[in-house]
Amino acid sequence: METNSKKDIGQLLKKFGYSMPLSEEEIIAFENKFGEDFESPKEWSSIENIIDNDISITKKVIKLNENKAIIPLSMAAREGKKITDEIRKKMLKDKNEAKK
Amino acid sequence: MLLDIEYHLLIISEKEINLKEAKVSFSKIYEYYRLFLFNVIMKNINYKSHKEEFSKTILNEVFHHVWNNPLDWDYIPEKHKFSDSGFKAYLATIAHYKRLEYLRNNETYLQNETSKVDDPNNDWLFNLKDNEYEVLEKELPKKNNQLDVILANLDPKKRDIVSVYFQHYEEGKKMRSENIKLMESMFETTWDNIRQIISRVKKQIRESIKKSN
Repeated sequence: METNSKKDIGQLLKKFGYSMPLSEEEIIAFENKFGEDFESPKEWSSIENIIDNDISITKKVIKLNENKAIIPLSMAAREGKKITDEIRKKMLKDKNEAKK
Repeated sequence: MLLDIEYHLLIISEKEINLKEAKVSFSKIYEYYRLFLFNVIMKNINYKSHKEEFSKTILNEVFHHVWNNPLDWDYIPEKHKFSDSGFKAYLATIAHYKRLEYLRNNETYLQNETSKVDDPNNDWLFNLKDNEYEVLEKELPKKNNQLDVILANLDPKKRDIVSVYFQHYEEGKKMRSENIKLMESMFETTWDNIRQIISRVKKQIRESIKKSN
């Protein structure tokens, strides 16, 4: 297939919002396409927080796979520790009793 | 009104002499550029939940970098078209690397030292014929363009795979070993599966271009 090495899709992806725009030309094209629809977060961080490096909005480790997006809250409450057999038996017993 | 970026960066660099003035200048730069940068980052984050929080964290890290290294950027007429777009490109580049850093810190794939190399004969690279490039160059600035339609018709996981492929695509280069591992880990699938999905989408893009001709 005839291709021209200069005609690579990479630059188009960056210019039109499919990848991070990095050059001035890409920035200008990106703003032309999306500038009117820019959205804001619910709240901006204060400059004091940024300067003090108090900047991590979420400290949780979040995986990209949506099904495992967030560590379950119950697990977080246990600080990631596994449930012992003893606690597991008690949980099962409580669950069965709740069904009655 | 455009901001005199270099002046404000200079004032920030003298924060030990006049902290109050430095904060005023920093605030001006932050307020002027945060909306642009937030949207650049948001478009390139694939987290389904906490997308806004991740984007804000990266945004804040970029501005923290500016506060600590105000003289890292300056306007060079031979290099930059405008100081505004030049500075935006600088901010976006820091955000790009912060985002990669963030992904790597949140994944365990780097612990596996086995190197994985993309097949040299695969069609991972996406060179276009001259006419294909011209069609896409006219099409992609539009909202809901042909590519958006193709992406919208994929199931969410495949759409994310293609988005991440686009985000890590580097012109003229094969996919890097660490990115291969990152994608396998992200999507819990094999590299072969990912490549098949990408190939199918590339084929669809080409067919769509043909129809527009």
